[in-house]
Amino acid sequence: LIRPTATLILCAAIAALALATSASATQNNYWGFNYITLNNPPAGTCPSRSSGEACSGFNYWDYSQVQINSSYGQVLYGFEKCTGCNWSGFFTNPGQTGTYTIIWNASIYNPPFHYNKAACSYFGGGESYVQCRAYIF
Amino acid sequence: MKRRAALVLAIAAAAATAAVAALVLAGQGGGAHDPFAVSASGTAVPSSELAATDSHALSASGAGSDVRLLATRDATSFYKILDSSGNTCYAVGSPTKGIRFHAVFCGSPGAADAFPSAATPLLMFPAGEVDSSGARVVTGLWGLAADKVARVEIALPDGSSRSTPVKGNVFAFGTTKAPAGSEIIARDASGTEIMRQPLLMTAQS
Repeated sequence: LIRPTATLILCAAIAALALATSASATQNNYWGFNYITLNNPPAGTCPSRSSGEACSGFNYWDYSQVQINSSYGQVLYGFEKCTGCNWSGFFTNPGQTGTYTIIWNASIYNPPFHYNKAACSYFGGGESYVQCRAYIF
Repeated sequence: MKRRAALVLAIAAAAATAAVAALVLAGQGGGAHDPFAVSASGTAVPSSELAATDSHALSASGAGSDVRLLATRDATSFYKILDSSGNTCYAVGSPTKGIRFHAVFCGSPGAADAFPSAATPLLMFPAGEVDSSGARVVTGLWGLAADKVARVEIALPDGSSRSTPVKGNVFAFGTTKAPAGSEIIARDASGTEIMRQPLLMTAQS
């Protein structure tokens, strides 16, 4: 009787641990849904940055993501890897709505600093209706 | 008598061959090939070959778990990812477990002119940078292409161009600089232009 009970408790503990692990993801919808353009969001929305740019705070973000619900332009989704550095990442395909995601240590980042700001920026063309997100798993 | 038996046997063999061919064609969609499809099915990547970080990337992207490695070009791997509803996502990354998916795109289901289509024969993963003044630059280009696309070209404003072949529905320029005014061109096997658009669109205030 003891063995099945112990097994049950062990299984429950493993399940709880698995649940806790899967539930530990942090999602930060740091801007939008809104229209990203050359002039929106206004300058300074992300400190010391131009208009058309939004960012999260510094953290160990794993993923930077942009969901594009309508697209007449291009949007950069990536990271600021150090204060004042250029923002780098990939940019979206005009007209292609959906979800674009990039990981912090993609090969375009050399060196791949993990402490970062997730960032999204107008990159050209017309307006796009977007939400910018950051994730930690 | 022997001749007649041989004739019957030959006819039966031909009929069987035709039936098998018809079945194969039916399995491929009746034989009417869509030139704007991505027909490469790739190699299945078993779930045991996905590390937790790979699974997190799929989860964050809303992608399915049926992962197919389409090709690896110049150390960059290209993936097609399906879910049980038939939705398809595409990714670029590496062939190495743990860092497979550097970037993932999951298109809106049912969206008009979604890749791959005649209107959108290319899906690009273009890398870029923007500085604190808002100046933008292209720093690299990888992507997927519909079957009809044989070659992809970057036309630079100075009149020169760079091009790369499409193999297995993928193309890679790698790290490359392209200034404002550059265009991306898709060509078929005869060199005919299928699509042309700005690589970096002009800013509109």
